[in-house]
Amino acid sequence: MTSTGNDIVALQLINTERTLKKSFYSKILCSEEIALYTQINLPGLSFENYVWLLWSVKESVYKFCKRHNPRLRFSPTRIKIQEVSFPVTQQDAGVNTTQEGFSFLKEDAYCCQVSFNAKTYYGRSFINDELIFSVVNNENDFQDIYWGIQHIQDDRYVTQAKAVRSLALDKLRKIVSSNNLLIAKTTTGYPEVVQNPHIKLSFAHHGKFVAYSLRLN
Amino acid sequence: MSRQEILEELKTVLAPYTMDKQVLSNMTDDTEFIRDLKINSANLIDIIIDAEDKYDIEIDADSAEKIHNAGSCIDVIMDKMKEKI
Repeated sequence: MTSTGNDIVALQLINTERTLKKSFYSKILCSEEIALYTQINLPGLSFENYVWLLWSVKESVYKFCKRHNPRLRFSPTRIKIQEVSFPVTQQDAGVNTTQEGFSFLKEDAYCCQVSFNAKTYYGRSFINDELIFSVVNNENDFQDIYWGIQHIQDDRYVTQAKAVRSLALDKLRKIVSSNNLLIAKTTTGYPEVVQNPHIKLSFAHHGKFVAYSLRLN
Repeated sequence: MSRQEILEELKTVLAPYTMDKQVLSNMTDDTEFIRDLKINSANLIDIIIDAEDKYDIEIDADSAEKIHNAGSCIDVIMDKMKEKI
């Protein structure tokens, strides 16, 4: 099953007070994940950011799976994060324009192991002052995955949708030898490259941030 | 409380989370939260919490999973209100 899933959370839009209420976070985290936060003692990671880190990984797993199962509904507490490790390297302070990468090195990322419907998925995420960004794969190897994040000036949906397609197309033109590349949504609503449907794309947006991940075969 | 009354109240609950006020004012049972109202998925929990507070109900994970459009949200709210009686 080849796919990719990503998600981005603009931290400026998060209601911290609400996130810290049990009535809120218990709709995202199961009891084992709440306990995991105190067990693993992730340095510098506040509980509110932990909640949204796990949200973004779970949303990414959902996107990964929904491409193959269009009837799937998102139920965050059913997607279980079993392990979280923190990055060894220092993260950037913020993303002002565009940031792109390839292969998501383990030492640069929060790494999660996830269980959902008897399958295991792997998440790589980074967090800075402005955002949480996650990409999910069904192998613990991100060598064929490209990703990008862009800060935009306008948070309207139409602008977000246009910006993320443009960002992904710019990257595709550099890595795929094909002219006139087009991105279209499948009947289930998932983006793919028209000329090469084996290239799986995932788009995300929140506020003034847009992001993509794409997987080459 | 009728479905129509809840639908009208739901527009107030959803208003902070959508910029598409035209679609919101014309909302029907079939209006999808993400596809039609362009509500960000990160706000779906906010909507469930706001609905819980407004109707003094608790929406568990099984019920929350069913909510994707206005109609399914009204169904869950009505079911939970019946359970209280």
